[in-house]
Amino acid sequence: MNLPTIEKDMIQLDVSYSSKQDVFYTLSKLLEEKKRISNLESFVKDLWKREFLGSTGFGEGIAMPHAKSGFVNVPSVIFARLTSGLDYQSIDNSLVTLIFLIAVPEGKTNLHLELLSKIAKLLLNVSTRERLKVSDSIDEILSILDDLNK
Amino acid sequence: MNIKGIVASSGIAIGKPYFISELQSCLDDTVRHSFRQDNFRYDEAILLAKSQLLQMEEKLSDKLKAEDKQIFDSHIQILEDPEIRRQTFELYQNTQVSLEVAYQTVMNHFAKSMSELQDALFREKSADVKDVMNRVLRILTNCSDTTTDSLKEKVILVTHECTPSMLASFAPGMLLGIVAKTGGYTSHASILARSMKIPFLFHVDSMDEICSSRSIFILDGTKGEIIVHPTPNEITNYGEKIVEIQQNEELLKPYLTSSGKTKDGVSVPVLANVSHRIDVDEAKNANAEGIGLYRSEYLFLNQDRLPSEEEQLEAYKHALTSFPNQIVVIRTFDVGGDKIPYAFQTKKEDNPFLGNRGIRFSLTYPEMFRTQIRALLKSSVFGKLVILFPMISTIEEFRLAKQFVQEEAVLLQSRGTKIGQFQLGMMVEVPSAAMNMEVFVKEADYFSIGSNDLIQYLFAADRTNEKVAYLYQPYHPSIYQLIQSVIHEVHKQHKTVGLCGELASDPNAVRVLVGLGIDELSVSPALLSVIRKELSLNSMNDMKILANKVVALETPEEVLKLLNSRKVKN
Repeated sequence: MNLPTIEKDMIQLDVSYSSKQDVFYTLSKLLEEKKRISNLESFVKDLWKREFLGSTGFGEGIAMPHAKSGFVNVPSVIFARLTSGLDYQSIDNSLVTLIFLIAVPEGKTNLHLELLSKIAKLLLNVSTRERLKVSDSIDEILSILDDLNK
Repeated sequence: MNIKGIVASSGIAIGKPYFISELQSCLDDTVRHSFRQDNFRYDEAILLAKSQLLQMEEKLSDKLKAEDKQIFDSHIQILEDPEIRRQTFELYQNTQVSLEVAYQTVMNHFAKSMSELQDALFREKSADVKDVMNRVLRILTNCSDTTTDSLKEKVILVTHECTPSMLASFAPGMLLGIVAKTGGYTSHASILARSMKIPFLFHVDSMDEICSSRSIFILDGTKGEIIVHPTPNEITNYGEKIVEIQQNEELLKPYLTSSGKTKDGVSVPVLANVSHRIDVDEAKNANAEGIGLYRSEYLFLNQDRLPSEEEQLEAYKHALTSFPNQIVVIRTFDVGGDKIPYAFQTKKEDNPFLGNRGIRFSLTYPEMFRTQIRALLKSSVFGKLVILFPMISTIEEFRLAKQFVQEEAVLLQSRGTKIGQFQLGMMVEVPSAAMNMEVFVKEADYFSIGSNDLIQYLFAADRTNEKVAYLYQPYHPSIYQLIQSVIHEVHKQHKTVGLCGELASDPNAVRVLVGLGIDELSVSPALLSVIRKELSLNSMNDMKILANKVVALETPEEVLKLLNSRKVKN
């Protein structure tokens, strides 16, 4: 299976959330609207299932909630940038401002691992991180994240 | 008459008892001196006690391993603890008690608070506190120390609780054995006794019997028994056994550094089970063919906090670099059951062996598990690592654990951390897994049969409960039938299956296991030579024939009878 590409309608700039549940619910709702998942409640539950196995707030203000779920129709990645830091119970206790939400269908492939790896590698670069934080157009963000599509 | 006890150090001793009793009588008539004088007396006593400890350490220095020397350091630490001094004088000033009573009260309180902790190793530390207390009190009260220097003959020490100081006070060679009412396998005295090869039994039921006899008795540290008033026959028999043990040690010499091979030259690697750093070194010295079971939970059972990623990495790296060309199987924390770390003061479960233990526990504490996995992954560059998950009962558990490893690997690699090759294995110790191997063999790389738990769960009998001990049946044919089918399934996928439980260190059972096709055996470092010798005496073909007969039998008695009749004498 090919890696999903980040699409324009999957980018949310300067949004704000009140809690981790709010993040999961709101972003999943977007997936539902685009028919990328088949059941909102169940998909959110699957995100929480993973979350209970350790925070996906991997540090330095970045979170990568993910679920390998039976309710995913189309493998998807959402990028969301927050206006203010969110308490996400990250492993380094940092407040989260950048979120990559990953949804992949159940199956034997390790698509979510490949995605996690690619995103983590991309974000290793400090200047990439900074650009993601300040760029003000969706097109610019898209071009920064374009590496993920390669 | 036979009295039971728990073996802290094995071996046999025949001799007269030597009693070291309580110093309570000396404490009965202590008086208060002036505040100044008592301050002075306190400091003098501490100084004197310290010099005694240092002298003892010196005396024993060539006999002790570096690790054991820490015992003296920890005693000195307790001795010089300023908080104990502060509390003693606080009590002294607020009441009318003597210095001795004040010190005793504070130290007893300290020892008690330690003994109430869940963690066994902390409980045992309370013995160290008492040891220090007794030493200081003997000095303060001029209560003569149990001088063992004047001993004319070798003796067996009989006491309420054996302390390192007691052990150290005996002249070399004068102490034949130890019998104590209380104690623990991992107490400092037990560790010392094992390293000095002195048989030691604790939790002895009826001390009064021994105390009242005062004549020669037998300490059987192979069975955990004491025979008071032995018959001349028994004395002769046990005397012969002592000689036999010595002779056996001679016979084992050719196997001290050999490798595991059957009589006809088929290689069956014998690996080592280890719990501590020193075990790894011992295994290396004894030429173990890898580490078959590294019990990682021992890294923190004696600590009040979890080991950091760096501390774990250091420990795993040491094991892997000690065996650069052989596999090192590191089992992730196997806590729960009877091993609850102090760091997790969880509510006592009604059925701990059927409760939250092994992989279940790790999955309940994901941050702890992830830290361990990161340390393991980082260590993988130093050798041939197998990460082993304990207590796997369902394939979902294995997949979940595997997912943890994969995720952490991805995150580490994406941050530029190097990860080497490694295998993912599982313990086969829960019947639901053992009977469903065709599912697991497709997904795990390595299998290790944990016979102790497998037997316990097969017979539904708690192996720590004496009343059902008869159900712990290592010779029951059903065990071997199950092991046979596990091996069969693993071999279908051309993968490796070892056995790391007690069965692997029983020469009788080893012949059957090897006959059934087990690929590797893993035993404590001290038993490597015993198993290598057993292998060398039997041909693969004979063991196969034997194993096929065993699985067709009906009762353990029949199995044992068959095994004994086919024993090869050396």
